[in-house]
Amino acid sequence: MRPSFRRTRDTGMVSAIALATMLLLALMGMVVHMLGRQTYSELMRIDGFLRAVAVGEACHARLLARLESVPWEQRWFRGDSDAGSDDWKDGTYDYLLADGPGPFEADLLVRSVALRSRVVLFWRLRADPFTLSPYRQIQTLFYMHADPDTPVSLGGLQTLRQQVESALAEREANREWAEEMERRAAPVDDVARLATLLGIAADPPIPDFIPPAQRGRPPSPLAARSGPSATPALPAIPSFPAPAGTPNPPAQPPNVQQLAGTRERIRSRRVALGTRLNELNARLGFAAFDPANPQDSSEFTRLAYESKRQLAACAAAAASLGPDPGLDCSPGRLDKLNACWTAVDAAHMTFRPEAQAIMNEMFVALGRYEELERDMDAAAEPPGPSASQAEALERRAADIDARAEELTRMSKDLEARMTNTFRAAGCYDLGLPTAAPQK
Amino acid sequence: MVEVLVVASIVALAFLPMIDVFRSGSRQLEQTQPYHQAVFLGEKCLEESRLGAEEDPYFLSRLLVDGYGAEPAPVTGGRHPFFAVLEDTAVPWGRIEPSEDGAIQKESGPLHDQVEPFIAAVQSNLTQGSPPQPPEAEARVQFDWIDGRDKAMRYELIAAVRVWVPRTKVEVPVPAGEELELAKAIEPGATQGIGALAAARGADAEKLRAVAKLLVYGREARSTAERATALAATLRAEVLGASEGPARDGKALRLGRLDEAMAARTCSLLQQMRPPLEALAQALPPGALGEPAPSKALLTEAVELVRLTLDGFQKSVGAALADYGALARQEFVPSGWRPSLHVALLRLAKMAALTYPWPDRKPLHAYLAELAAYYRGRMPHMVHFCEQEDQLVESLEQTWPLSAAAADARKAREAYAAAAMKLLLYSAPPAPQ
Repeated sequence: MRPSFRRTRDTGMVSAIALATMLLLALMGMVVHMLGRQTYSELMRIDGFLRAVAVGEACHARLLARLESVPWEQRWFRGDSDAGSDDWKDGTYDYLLADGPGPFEADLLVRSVALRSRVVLFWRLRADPFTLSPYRQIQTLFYMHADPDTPVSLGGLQTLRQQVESALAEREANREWAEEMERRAAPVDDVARLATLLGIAADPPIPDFIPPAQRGRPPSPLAARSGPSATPALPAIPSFPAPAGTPNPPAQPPNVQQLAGTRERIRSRRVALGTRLNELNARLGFAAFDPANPQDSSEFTRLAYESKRQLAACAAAAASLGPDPGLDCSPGRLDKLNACWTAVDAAHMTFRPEAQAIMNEMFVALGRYEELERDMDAAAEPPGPSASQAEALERRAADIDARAEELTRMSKDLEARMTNTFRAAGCYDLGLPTAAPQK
Repeated sequence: MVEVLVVASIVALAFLPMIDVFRSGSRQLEQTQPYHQAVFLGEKCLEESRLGAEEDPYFLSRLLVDGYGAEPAPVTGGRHPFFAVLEDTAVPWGRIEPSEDGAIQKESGPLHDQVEPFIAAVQSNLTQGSPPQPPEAEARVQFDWIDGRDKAMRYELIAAVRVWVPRTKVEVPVPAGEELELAKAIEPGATQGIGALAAARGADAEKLRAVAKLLVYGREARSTAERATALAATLRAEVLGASEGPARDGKALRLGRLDEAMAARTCSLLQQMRPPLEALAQALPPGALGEPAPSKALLTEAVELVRLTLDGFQKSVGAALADYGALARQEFVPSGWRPSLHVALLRLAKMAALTYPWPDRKPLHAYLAELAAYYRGRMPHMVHFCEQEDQLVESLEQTWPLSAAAADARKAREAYAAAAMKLLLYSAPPAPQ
């Protein structure tokens, strides 16, 4: 007998359930697989982004180093722009470098690619040669990540500049407010007080939505500051030494100029003193009259000689021993001639020591002037006079000047007295030749 | 029955790969998780390197020569210098010290478990660029760990590190001192250069050019000083008259910068004036300036201009020290100002020490010690900078890049007296008998 199989309504249901189960498992497996791949791709995206930023910053570092290796005036893109591309490690970059809108400014736009990630970076750089820094200072005024689709071209740069200018203007507009807030917050070490200072409510209600950002300047907090200060101890800034106080420093510039002026002055004073001495000698020198060289005698000596000569001539004529001298040999005149040469000889005796002393002193003073001039010339040689040297030379010059002035006054006084004596004796009424004859 | 058996075997065959898929998904998570950690840890190290290079000119040598962070060390327990401390966990607040505050310890919670497997090392490299590119430096951060399969894994990230380029001259733009410009300084209507003028007058070209340079650069110093002095007086009055606040601070900073700018400009000019001053100081024989010689008034003007420049330089350095110092002593200045103020004071003090002799350099040592104490626990790179600077104080003449510029200013001053005497006493040669 053939077995009979009962055909049931369950035939084929097992297959359907199994198929459904397999499909479900396959779906779950696909989800798990996709999540796993996504984890990898997320990681690769982050890694790629960081590497792309590193490549862009390497471009910045290279260009910055090149820019800092020459004075700003010698930058290679001056008046123009520089565009280029290169690679760094596992990435590549394109850049555009151009002068910025302000003086000593430059804009740098870099697009860098690494591991299929692309970033566009912007720097506004500013040089500052007006410092005593031992490094060329090129600082970053502004830095941002731009849209990765920004073209690295002058047009792209121009578009970014508008954003940058706007951001810089806003930053500057907020600066004072922000600094004042920082100033007030700095000494506060209590959170509740800080919240009050910043205008944050203690238990603010939770809003239903995040309100849009408020543009424009917040109300000014600028008012008198109050509250205890809790700033940490600041470093003591010492008083660094001033220029003075060093041993034997070089003469200060005003002293050098004064010294040079003194040098000029003593030269002319020496010449003046020498002239005075010559004049004095010419008027009251005591050397005996030499008929063969009458120009070498002094005025007063010639007075005496001429007086005596005329007297002798008149006496000879009276005794008919000589020719007619052609002179007035009247008794009155002869008396005056006598009085004149007597006065001159007496004056020579009386005033001679004083005159000799004055003229000797003048010689000495001239010698001192010459010595001082030599010393000043020596001081003028490199490295120039020190402060103490300049002072000493000035003092010496002042001393010699004072002495020279005194001697000049004394000599004029002596001369005046002698002249008055001879005038009183009538020497100048006789018409005697006093000027030294020309050779 | 047969159907059930067939379906069961198909399901069994399909189930096994599914298990593998689920297991591989879990393995992927286990493998990528350390990479995620390494990426963020690496970025932290690179940011630290960038910051160090920005704040401390000696940071690169710290990496290259001292091997700062080069030795592989675990990230946890404060054993690697780049991860020495995590946060300010102990008094005194506001200072983060490796010996006092917390590194990544077990007490840090899940963070410790996440980063515990990592061994960090920061290698550095300096390569000579091909001209005109200067040398380049890079910091290579690597993290090693053993993954779940006991396999050694490594993650590496590289970043460029700033190379500080020193300069030996102050480079404020000054007149170029071109031939015609020099000639016009002696003779305003000149149409040829100074060389031709000297030949026409029978002058020593070197001496005549020297006098012309003193006039050109000295006039530049005078006109700049006139403008700056007026502006400085206005700013100073405003600062003195203003009450405490951002407006006053801004003006005080501008004043200090103006003083330093003047010092830099006069230093630039003195760099140019030194050679002609030394040439004139050596010798200026009668007739060296030709016939007709420059007038007495012109020579006196040259001497006066040099005096103004020398005095201006000294005064500007002193004024900048005073103004920056006053600002640095204030209880409050906006954040970010203080380090740059302190560094500015340091460079001005060094310039002062090199241009006019100090009894000793103790004030510089004292100042650097104060700065190091102030920045300890706040800005570690500034502390390193101060420590390096302190070691170089006694050898500034050999080590400071701008010592040559300082020497120019000092030598110009030393040559001034002799040159001034020669110019003021210059005379034409005596007429032949």
